[in-house]
Amino acid sequence: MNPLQPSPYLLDCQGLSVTFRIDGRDFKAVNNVSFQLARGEVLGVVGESGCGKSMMALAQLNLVPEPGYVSGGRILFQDQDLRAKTERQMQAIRGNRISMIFQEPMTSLNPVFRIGRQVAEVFLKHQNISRKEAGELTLQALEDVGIPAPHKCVNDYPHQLSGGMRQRVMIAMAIGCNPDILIADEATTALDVTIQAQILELMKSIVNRFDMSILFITHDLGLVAELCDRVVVMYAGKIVETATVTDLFDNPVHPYTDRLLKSIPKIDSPVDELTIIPGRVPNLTELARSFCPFEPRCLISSEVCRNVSPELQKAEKDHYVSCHHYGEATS
Amino acid sequence: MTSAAPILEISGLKKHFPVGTWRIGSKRETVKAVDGISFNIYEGETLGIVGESGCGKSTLARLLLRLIPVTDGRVFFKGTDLLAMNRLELKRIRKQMQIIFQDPFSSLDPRKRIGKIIDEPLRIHGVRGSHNRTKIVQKLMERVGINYEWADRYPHEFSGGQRQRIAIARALVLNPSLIICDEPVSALDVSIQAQVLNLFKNLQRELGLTYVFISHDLSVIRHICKRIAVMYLGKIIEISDADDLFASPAHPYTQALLSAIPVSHPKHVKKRTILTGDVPNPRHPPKGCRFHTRCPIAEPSCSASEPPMKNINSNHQAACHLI
Repeated sequence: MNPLQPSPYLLDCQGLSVTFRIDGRDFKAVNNVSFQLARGEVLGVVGESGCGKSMMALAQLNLVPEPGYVSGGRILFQDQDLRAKTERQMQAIRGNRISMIFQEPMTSLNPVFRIGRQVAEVFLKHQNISRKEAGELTLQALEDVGIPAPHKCVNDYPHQLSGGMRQRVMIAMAIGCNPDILIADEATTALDVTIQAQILELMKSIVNRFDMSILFITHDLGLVAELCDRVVVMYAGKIVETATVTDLFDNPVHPYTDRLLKSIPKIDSPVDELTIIPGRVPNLTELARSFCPFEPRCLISSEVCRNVSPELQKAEKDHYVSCHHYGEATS
Repeated sequence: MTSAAPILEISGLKKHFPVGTWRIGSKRETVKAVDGISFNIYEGETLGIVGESGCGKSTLARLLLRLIPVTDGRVFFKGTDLLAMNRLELKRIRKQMQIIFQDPFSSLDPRKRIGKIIDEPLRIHGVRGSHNRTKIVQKLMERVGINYEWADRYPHEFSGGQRQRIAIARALVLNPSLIICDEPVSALDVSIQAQVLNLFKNLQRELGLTYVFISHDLSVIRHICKRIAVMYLGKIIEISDADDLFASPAHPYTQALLSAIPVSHPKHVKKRTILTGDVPNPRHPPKGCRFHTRCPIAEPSCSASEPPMKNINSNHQAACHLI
């Protein structure tokens, strides 16, 4: 790897790998993943359960749970390598410059403390201010995320709020210090569709108001279409395709992306029979050897797919794909 | 739709759950999970039930099979009163109605081999001859796409999609005519969900099954259902042919619900009705029309009385004062 060069991107993740060591054997949950996030951009990361998207997100903040660890690669945030930081330095970044919201707002809030105290903690931790000032910032933050009566809400406990309100509180905590990057890991998955629409509108307005970048992790391609500028599609720990969002939906070139898009039931154009992807996602134990992980489910696979793992190659401007058969006549 | 006979007729169905503490001299508070629902399900159709969490969809599913006691109302299955039956009669008729649950991890007994799990309904209902039963199990396993050689394996050895196939095989083993599917694909990944949805459709075509398909995912409902009922806080607020419902939703809640679905392509721009606030607490539902607290077009009169079901056309009804 060449020495540090200034990156034009806010976040530049190069060759990131996350490994889990279980019973002396290594399993790669994230395998040599590279992507870039520009300022003000919303980058979607899609994939099915177990594809490594959450681990990839946690690795950005050095939060990969035991027995997993970041086993390779570089994460450049504003030209500084986050992997070289100490835990204390990381704490100054987490929640301050890069913050994260999770799927389950109930489990991410502490049930025994009032909302006000939990939100104020963010300000007290990262800004050198008095409790009174932190209280005012808390009210402002809660108002920013559209909580109807912030004065009342600060005295509530998490269980007194609905799922949508809890997620708003989480977002208030996450954007309170005006971070550069917000990582949202399945942030709307646990919510009902009408509440999800509210939160999506909120996130759109946050991008505009605060000039923030969002790393939006989801399994729902509809949300990607709705919110994101660019998409990374992951499968079995690897990036299989990355493109701008319109490009990906108009012209998916990886067979997995192509069939995934077709396998979603469409509201506006119902079909009689859905396109399916046969088989199932491989589990981590099957990924030790070198091959294309999608090969067992792929309709155009050949000998080379079984023996060589494909590299990400350029398809068009801003469009990369990792498939041996890219460029041939595809069906 | 009207040409077929109703397989299930429901009228005024209610389920109230007692909550909170009971004090002498005062009436115990209740959650009206299902509060006065009437509709018919016709032979061979798929009726979808949509609604947000807590609207009473799953409670309704259990009531249709009398898995939980009914507070009030009537359920007729093929013309016979389900609620008047004794245990023995109920057991006999349950052969014809089955249910599939959302979570295939908790609906299969982890200590039983899957062959046994699929065989169990046959044994319970007294199908004689183990050889005969094995043949039925084998045929069904192969039909749902599970290799019969795996009959000796335990549920944990299968993936989520395969487990849901096992649950489907178990539901089909008694050759039922009605299957209640309570969020059967919600726990599955997109690529697996498509496989299971296709299986549901093919089985219906081959076996002439009737489905009640409960889901919160409108695109899944759109794909699989011919008729759709929309629930809000324990009531059906709109019921219609699927095409009609998606083309011209009448109830403001249905309109908001449909507009909240994420777009299927980034170039589609959608005019969106964003509902304010949350679903009210079902312990204290709003007076009058239950939706008036979030309704974008509500008028003062909406909180005065509950709106009755109105006919939009012969296959489309909605309960709103303002239509």
